[in-house]
Amino acid sequence: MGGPYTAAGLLWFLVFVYAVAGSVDFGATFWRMFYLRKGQHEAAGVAERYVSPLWEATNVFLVLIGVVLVGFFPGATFAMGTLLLWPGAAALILLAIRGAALGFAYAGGGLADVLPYVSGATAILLPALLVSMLTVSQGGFTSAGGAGLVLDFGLLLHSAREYAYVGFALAAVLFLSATFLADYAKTARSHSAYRVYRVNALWLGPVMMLAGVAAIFLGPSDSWLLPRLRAEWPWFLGSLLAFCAALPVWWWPGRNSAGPVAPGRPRLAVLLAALQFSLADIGYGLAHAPYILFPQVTTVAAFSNQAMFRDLLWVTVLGLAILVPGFVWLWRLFITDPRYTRG
Amino acid sequence: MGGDAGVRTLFGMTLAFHIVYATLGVGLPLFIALAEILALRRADPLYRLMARRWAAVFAVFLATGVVTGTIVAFQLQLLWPAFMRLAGQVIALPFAIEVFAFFIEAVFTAVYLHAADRIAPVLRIASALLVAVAAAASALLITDVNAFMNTPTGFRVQAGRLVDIHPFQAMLNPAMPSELAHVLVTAYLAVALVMAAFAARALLRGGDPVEVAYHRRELDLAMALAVPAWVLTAVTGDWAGKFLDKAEPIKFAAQEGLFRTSAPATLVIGGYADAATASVRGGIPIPHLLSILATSSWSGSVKGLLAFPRASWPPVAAVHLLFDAMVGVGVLAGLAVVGYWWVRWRARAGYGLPPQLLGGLVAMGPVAMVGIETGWIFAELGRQPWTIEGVLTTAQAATTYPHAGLLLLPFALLYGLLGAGSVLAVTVHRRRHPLSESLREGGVAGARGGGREG
Repeated sequence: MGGPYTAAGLLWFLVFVYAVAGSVDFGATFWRMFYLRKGQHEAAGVAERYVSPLWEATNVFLVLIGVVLVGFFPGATFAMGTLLLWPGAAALILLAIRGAALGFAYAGGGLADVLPYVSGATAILLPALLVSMLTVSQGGFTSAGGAGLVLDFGLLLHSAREYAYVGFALAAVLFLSATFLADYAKTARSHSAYRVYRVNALWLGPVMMLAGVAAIFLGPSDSWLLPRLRAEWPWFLGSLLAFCAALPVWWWPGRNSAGPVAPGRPRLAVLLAALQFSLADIGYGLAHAPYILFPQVTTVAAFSNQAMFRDLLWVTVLGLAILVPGFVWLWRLFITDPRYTRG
Repeated sequence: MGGDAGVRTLFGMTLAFHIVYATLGVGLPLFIALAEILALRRADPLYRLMARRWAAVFAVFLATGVVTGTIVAFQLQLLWPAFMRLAGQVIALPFAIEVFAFFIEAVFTAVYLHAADRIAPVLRIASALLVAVAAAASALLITDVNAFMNTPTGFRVQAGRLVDIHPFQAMLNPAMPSELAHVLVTAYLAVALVMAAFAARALLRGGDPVEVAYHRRELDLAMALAVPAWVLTAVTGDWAGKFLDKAEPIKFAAQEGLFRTSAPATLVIGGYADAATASVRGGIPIPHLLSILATSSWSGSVKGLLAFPRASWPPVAAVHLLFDAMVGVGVLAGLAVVGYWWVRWRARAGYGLPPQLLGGLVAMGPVAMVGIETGWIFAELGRQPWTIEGVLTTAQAATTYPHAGLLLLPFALLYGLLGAGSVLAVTVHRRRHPLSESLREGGVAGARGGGREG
């Protein structure tokens, strides 16, 4: 493992953290909108209590990914920046509208009726846009025109693979957030919300897996990625096992499951989902590793200099270490403290 | 300007919008933390109420600052890919550390806004202080990237490649100390004046004695913060000016509209610095003053623009006027601070602030923000044609993507929406929670009977 791959590994770890935390964040705002519309205020309230204090910290992870990419792979920044101008700008505008809708809600008032719909709707568009950057990075949609790299939108919009990835991303966002919110509802002893999110997690899991498999196999048959993904099969097998192991967990009798409460140990399901995603993330990351953007930008060529690599590595690792106690405090205040979660 | 005009306008618009919220985001938490400390030390519930009311405003402005800051971070990559390719190799550290400072701010903001009633008062105050410190740190770190653009160090260019790279040296570049100090203290000054404007407007409207007592405390606190902030603004401004004369002589000559190298040098206030005729039309000349300011000597020599190739000149007329506007705002702020405390001292025995003074303070709020904007535009325009002084021109830094300027419209709409939305959210919140009602809820009304000063 040389410098470029250590940096890529760290970057990919950050992408993983944001993929999971961001999924729960986006998904929760979607569920809030969905259950507000249906008048199921308990399920909506659980989602809101999770998102309100934590969306800002989640959003910072996205910025961190951008900044670390610039520092570790300045060459990739150049290509990605040129290539993703339009989709990137669209994602930024949606992110801004979503964040503002969440932030303005703190002030309350008549706006509070509209803002959940704004944040909920943008939250479902954003994962689609963000995952498209992954599709683009796999190559096949770019051409080197006179002005540098150009993204071929027509090709992208007619690609079955792109839609499979979008479907996978949406299902994953909803699956992860439903799993997490089920656990959150259980901590909050919100039984009706727990039942709702439990059922969502149950049917969305298989949908997500189907979309994931489709995304992998809908690529061109001569794809550079497919054989590399196949070579990493043990990771994906482990991921699949973690997914399968999580299914019966939903029927385990919980500790407080006497009476009207639906069965299940959602905390274990959350941990297994995290395991499932981390294994799949490692497998995909290893397969994708040689290229940041296929075929123009290789990980080695885009790499920064040794001095910046060393210093930025220290800064990032130290920064993350310093943040751990902060996250622990947030976790205790907003996720496991029944005084807060019960509203 | 050429093909990069659209990109420059778009990014300029983004930053112009962002820095308003960023400045408020740096200053408001300090004000809130101070109010929290005063509430504890003086056992005065009015200060606790003040902290709570401003925290709601902070939540709205911070959200706007967060999302526009995210836009800045990624627009840098989308609109200035060549700049970021170079910056990534040399000056990535402050970007990264800034994100961590911002993490800390987000964590403690969540704690302060959403868990204040569940933690001990000491922890609550510590959270507010940490938000203030982290906000200041992230502002300083991102300004450090700008300082690097002004005085790039920590690398050499050899045959088109960057060699001999020292990231920490790049971070500790020569412009860093004076530029960072000036940016931070002017942010505090501007926010103090904005807060004072709100308090003064409320006092002009009147209200029952407790409400008046509340706004008097608010105004006193804001103007108390403004005193050290203004003194330090002047001191760091002078420091930054002397530094520019030595390290960025072209920018310095342009800001003063000085074309011919002179000893002694005359300061010209205002006027149109005409690059075509190399002279300033109009303006108020003050002999010797520029020598004194730049070199601390009566007849010190100051380099003029004609000593440098014409291609390296920034748009002189605009730079000179923007600079003078910024200094003018600083002078007005000084008058406001001195005027307020003079009246306050004189009126100690009796009571009441003259409405003219209050009216002046109301006007000073937006003027202070104009000072922040002109200061930033001046600093950027004064470095043109360079993005990284002497290394990368703005034209080279901009994206090669055709029609990037088309993005102007959607982003202009977005900022209009965010600006209106943030103001609307604050207004709605204030209307739903009028001060009189909050005072009753807090059990303050009657209990204090109009307060000490009433």
